Amino acid sequence: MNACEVLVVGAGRAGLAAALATVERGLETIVLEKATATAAVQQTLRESNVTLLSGCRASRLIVESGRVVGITLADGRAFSARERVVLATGGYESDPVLTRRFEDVPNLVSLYPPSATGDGLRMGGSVGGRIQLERNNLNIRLVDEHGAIVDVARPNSKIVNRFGQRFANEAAPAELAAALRVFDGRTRTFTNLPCWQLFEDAAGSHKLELHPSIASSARLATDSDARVLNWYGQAIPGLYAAGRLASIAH
Amino acid sequence: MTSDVVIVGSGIGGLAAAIAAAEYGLRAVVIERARRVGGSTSHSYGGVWVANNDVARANGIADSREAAMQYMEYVGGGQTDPARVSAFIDAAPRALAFYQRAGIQLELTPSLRDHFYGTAEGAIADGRHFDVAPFSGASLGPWRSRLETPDGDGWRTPLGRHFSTQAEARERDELAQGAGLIAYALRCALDRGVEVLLETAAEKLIVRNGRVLGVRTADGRELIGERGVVLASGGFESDTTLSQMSENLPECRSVHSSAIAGDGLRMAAEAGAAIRIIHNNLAVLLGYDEPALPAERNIRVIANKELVAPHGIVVNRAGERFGNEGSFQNFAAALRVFDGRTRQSRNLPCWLVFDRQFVTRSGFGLAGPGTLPDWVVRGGTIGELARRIGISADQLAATVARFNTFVESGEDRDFGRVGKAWSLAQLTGVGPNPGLGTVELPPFYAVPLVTTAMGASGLAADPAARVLDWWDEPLPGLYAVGNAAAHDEYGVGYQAGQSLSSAMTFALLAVESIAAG
Repeated sequence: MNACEVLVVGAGRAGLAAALATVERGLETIVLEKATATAAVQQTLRESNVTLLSGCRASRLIVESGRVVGITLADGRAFSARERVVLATGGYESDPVLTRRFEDVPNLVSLYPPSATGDGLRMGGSVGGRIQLERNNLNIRLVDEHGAIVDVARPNSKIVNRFGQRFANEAAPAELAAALRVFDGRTRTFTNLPCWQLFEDAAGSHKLELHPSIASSARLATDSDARVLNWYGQAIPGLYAAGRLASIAH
Repeated sequence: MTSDVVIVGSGIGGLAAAIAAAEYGLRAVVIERARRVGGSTSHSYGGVWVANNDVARANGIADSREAAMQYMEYVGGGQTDPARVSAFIDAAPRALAFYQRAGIQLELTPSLRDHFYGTAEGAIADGRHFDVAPFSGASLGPWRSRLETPDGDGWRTPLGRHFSTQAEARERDELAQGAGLIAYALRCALDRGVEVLLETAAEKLIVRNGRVLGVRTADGRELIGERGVVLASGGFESDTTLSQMSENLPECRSVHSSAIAGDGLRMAAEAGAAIRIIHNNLAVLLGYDEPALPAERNIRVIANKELVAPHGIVVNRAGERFGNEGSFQNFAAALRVFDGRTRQSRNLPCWLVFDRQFVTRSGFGLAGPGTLPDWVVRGGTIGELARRIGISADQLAATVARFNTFVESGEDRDFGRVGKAWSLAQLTGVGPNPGLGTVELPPFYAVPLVTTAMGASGLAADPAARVLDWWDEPLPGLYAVGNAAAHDEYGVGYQAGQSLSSAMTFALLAVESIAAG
């Protein structure tokens, strides 16, 4: 088994920050990334003497006597961490199961890379990490069928629902986001989804179907030291979470 | 102590699992953290909804699996797991027959149509709703005093059919509805040698080599279930954090006992179980703080009582109506509307506003027609009433005036409120027939309303009631039934009788899975 003091899962911004912080304190640190880190991240980690292993998909946390002590990878390799495991895997926008389970807006598309599959949420949840759900998450964008963000407030345009009605001030993203959640108890459908942007330009009149995209609402509850908390409010020994995966407990 | 199956909770899910375990030759122990048997089931109407069943067929009522599945499509509101819906619909008729054979005397509730009859495809007017015949309390022997029962006597008589008056039923100690269902199930379980331990709280699951093998109790005992553990411990309505997370209502209150606090969910989550949120749960009821009720559950639900009575409307802080008061499901969805501009709930808080005609005809509160508690806010004019509750007098006056024109024309052009909502009240003789009526005779009254939900979120479980981990794999040895599991078999709901029916059905499926394993 590969051993180190700190294992960081995910080489995004949060993972990078965590790795730099731990190596600065003299802790031997390995960063596991399932895809490929950006060139800038690779260079920064190299310069800081942090080991970066790409193509390493973390699969399960290893728990011994109630303490998180390492990780097994999907390919069966195992890494042990004497000090701590830091999950920095981001959201689950590209995972349809978790998205359906935790988001109350239907038919979502992901603006995140295919690797945003909620591995950290699953791993943390499976060792008893508490899920914290942000309700009325207003971080919703509307995109076209290719996933390109639509200028919802463009001149000579309006957004309408299936009844042809406007339902929010197009220039107020929070109002649009809130309106997309409205559910009709009688018809059991979303009043304002699907929706379309109607606009006019030099080429004529257009009707563009809009798709909602949301940043993940469910996270692991953490304390102010980034320790992952269980459902009883206690820190899980050895386990930390950072970035978009973590939520300060309330 | 070692058994084959340890069952956590003594509501109908737990007792049904115990009966099934015994029928399959398994040694079962039921543990209950309260001092009495019955959990939330004892406080329910005791309805058991089973589509496509043999009893209805024998009574010449046409029903089919296809109709049932169509109906579930509507009821589910997009929040179901198709495999769980099928498992529920397919096994419920078998479970009904199984528990009837075991001795639970479930009978068709006459003329109780599906909630969404007339709205949803696949709904039928009769033949799917069951409740128990009267049970003689004496036949429970020493266990009679350990049975959880509601206050009053309204629960002693079956729904919609006459056996005895409430006074006679009290005299003979007849039990019906939810407490009656529990009484039958408890008798059946005890007769089969099931051990029932009261005041025994499960605290932690015992897991060995990746398999759930029992529970540790709060007083330090280890109860081993060599073949499995069934969580039938109810939901989490009395836990504010879980309730907020699940319901997305600004302040959602509990009508359940403080014991319904997510124990099962926490224990299972600690062992690696995944949770599932059911969004837009429509089993949300409106009620009010009734000072005369015990503090633990002092919310008096009026969703099918005062809320649907004529001469009253519900308004938000803007002084506007926002839904069809005659249908709590329609209302539930409106209660969740969030205002992105003000960043607060649009329709909560809200008030029931009514007039003197309402009081004369229906009354408000526990005392019945013609009566009204002293604490109800009142005003000689609509404007005065509005000022007392701190909302716009002009807007409330405009809302009331508009509503009164709807009464005249007989058509609620804003929200389609009609004169006859689905109401158990009609069957149990509680309250008047619902309908439209003007709000015009002073004095005027207002009561602040609060929300309470029957939670639908919970542990993720598969069609055999096996609790799932975060990768959708079953956690060996662990099962969840009733409100401990996410209700992804009926999704947003809510059809009366499906909650108990689901508990009994998945209890049977869980035990079948245990017996087969």
